[in-house]
Amino acid sequence: MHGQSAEAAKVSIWSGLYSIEQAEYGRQEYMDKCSNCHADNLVGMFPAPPLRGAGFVTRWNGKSVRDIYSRIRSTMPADEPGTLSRKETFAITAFLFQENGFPAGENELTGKPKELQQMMISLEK
Amino acid sequence: MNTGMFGRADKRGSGVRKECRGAALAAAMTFCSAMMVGAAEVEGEWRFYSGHQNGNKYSPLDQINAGNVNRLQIAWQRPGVDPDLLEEEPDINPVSNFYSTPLMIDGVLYSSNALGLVEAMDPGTGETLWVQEPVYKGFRGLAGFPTRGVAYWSDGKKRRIIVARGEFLLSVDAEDGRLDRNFGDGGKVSLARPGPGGPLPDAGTSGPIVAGDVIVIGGGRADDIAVRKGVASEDIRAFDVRSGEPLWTFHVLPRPGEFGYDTWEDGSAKLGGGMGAWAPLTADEELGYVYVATGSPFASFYGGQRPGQNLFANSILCLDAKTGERIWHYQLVHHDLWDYDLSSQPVLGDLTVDGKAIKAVMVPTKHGFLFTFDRVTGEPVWPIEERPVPASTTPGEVAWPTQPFPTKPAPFDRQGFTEDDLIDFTPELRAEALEIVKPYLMGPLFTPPSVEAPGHGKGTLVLPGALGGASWTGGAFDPETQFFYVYAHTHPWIKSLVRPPPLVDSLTMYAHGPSELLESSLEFTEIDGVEDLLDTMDRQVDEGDAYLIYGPDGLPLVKPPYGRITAFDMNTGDTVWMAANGDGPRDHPRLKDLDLPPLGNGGRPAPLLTKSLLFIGEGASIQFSTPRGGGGNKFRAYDKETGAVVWETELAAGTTGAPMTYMHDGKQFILVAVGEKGEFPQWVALSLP
Repeated sequence: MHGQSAEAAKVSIWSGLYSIEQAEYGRQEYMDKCSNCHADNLVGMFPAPPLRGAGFVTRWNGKSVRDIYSRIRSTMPADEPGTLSRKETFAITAFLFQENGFPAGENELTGKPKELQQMMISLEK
Repeated sequence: MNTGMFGRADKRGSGVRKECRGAALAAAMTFCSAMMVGAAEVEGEWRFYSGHQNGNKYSPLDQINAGNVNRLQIAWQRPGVDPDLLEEEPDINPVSNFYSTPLMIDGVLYSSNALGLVEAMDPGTGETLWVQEPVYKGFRGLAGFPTRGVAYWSDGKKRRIIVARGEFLLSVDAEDGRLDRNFGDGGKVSLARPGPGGPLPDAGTSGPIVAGDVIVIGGGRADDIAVRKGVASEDIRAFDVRSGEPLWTFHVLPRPGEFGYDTWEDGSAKLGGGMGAWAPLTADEELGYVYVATGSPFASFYGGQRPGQNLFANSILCLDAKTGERIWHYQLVHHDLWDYDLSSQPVLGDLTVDGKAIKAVMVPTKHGFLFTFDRVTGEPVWPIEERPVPASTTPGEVAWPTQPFPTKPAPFDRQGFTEDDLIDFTPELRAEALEIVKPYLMGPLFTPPSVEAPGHGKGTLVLPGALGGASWTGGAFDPETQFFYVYAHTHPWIKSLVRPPPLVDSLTMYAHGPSELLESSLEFTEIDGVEDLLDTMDRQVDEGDAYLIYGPDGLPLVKPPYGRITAFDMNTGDTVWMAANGDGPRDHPRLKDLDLPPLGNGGRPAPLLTKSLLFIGEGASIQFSTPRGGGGNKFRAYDKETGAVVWETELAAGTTGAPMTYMHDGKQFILVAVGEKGEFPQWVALSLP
């Protein structure tokens, strides 16, 4: 559970912030709504950037789950931004974490903005 | 309807209320608007994206001048979206590449905000007066992208802000932000065009222009999507400003029987689309003409399936604003293979050349030329020569044998790539640079892209690269001195062609290389930890970075400057001065002991001209920059006659939009959008204390 209060300490992405099932749902959503531009294998098709690899991970290194989640929800899919539900956006975020080598945990990725802000994406374990 | 935008009580008690329903506007505003009809010039206002319909980015304001600019300070700074809205919708997180430039009319700032919604602000404080009524209810109505500019129209009674966003062209009431129910379908007109997987929303990135009672809008999709079959040509379209009724369409890709159709040999005009004019448009209402700079043809790096000159790609078009009739055109790149789409707004100015008065249009390009025409007739002001250029070595490709070279003014960027262009700060650096370029094909301007294959080299080094040269940042023209100012970013690109993975709907036999991009990305399929990725850091896989080539230790590959400003006297066509814009990488470990002058920051800053000063930033890290991740937060004032830096400051982030200026309550303000990767985009307004 990510039931931390706003004052809670930061949580690392390495502690497992999503579930395998959620990432699988996220994969389906990705293939349906994202892969047309970012490619089935997430390598991107310019100008849609790669969503897997060094560029992606360093871009979000040091940022919070709230940052990436809200960016996806506010801007994607680029042709129809704002059409992803919260649930779909969390699942796609989980799928991206999985594809970039971050471990799964027991619980689904979800939370209030202040909680999401405490979940940190980090290259360092 | 989102309660964040409507029906909220005014919390500031100012004359203009932050609410929509039934709010009577401040009497002062109504009075002002009645006095200012249409596009009339009003001193101290900023009524178009570039200040004027002529696109010159010039204001005669002089309260801020060389004598006091060092006292300039931040008047206000605020997020690119109404802070109240952010509080109510915590999922809002717009892109950091915030390139909106507001208008200032009748004492109100109007802009596309960081989400692309029209937002009205108090020019003195930056406080939000209203955010427009969205097209959709709920979060979908809020999510979106900014556009560079909005357009203003008034008949003396009605006042409208015209904006393109997502799928739609919208007419928004300038009084309160409500959609104009008399325009199109409840305030909106769909701009969607046919695409491979269904209609593509196609409002573009720069926004419309209004000339008289006619809205004109170009295109704006990335050229790259046009490598696919089934993408419609991004025609120029016009709509009635009152009703939203379509008035005319100009086919940028000619149809059978139309002029230019035969410049697509073998019937290739039927194959593709694209060619969106994505730069801002310009108009001359006196002549009744609109000036349009068009984009690249489909598959902008490989033209084997579109033999011919490919009109009206990469062309300056002069169209009759009322009818869409082509008055004249000039193609500035034939059969484009370099992604040299025309990305700068055409700039209108009146010149005196050899004693003859000329109404001119000036078009800076990515490949470093400033093309200058009589805007009435399309005659070049200085001769443009068709010169032979290198043939293509790519199977299936026939490069056009000549390209247009203006004889004046001189190029404002490095053109073509030879060993003489390589950095030579030290003999060691030069030797390393020589090693780096060994596998690539180099040659003069217009050397075509080449196939990347074992024993065949790694592609062509193209300079200027596909970023320019000039870009959407464009030029500025001083109507008093007839000086033209343009910023250029110097960074070579790799233009290599690799056999693509089979794409059923592709219009090209080749994918854009380098192949390492594809290969290195595929390797990640097998990763089992993020640490592995760190080893690949030098592979430059972020956001098209793979196309850029760097020198030793992340230094630029070519000689400086990497970002430069050039001033031309357009009455003579002569260069007046050239200045490196910013320090560039002179503090790099391998350069810092060499005591180098400013090397220039490569980025995407746009100029602003006032009576005596030229204001410009350095671009931002979020955009393409040299060195990588560069950009810079500095914002400067140059003496526009000499190119000397008069003043500089450091902003919260690099400039992402074109700056503008206005007078409000007796004070001159300079306003610019800034952004940084991962940070919330902001507007910053500067004024004297």
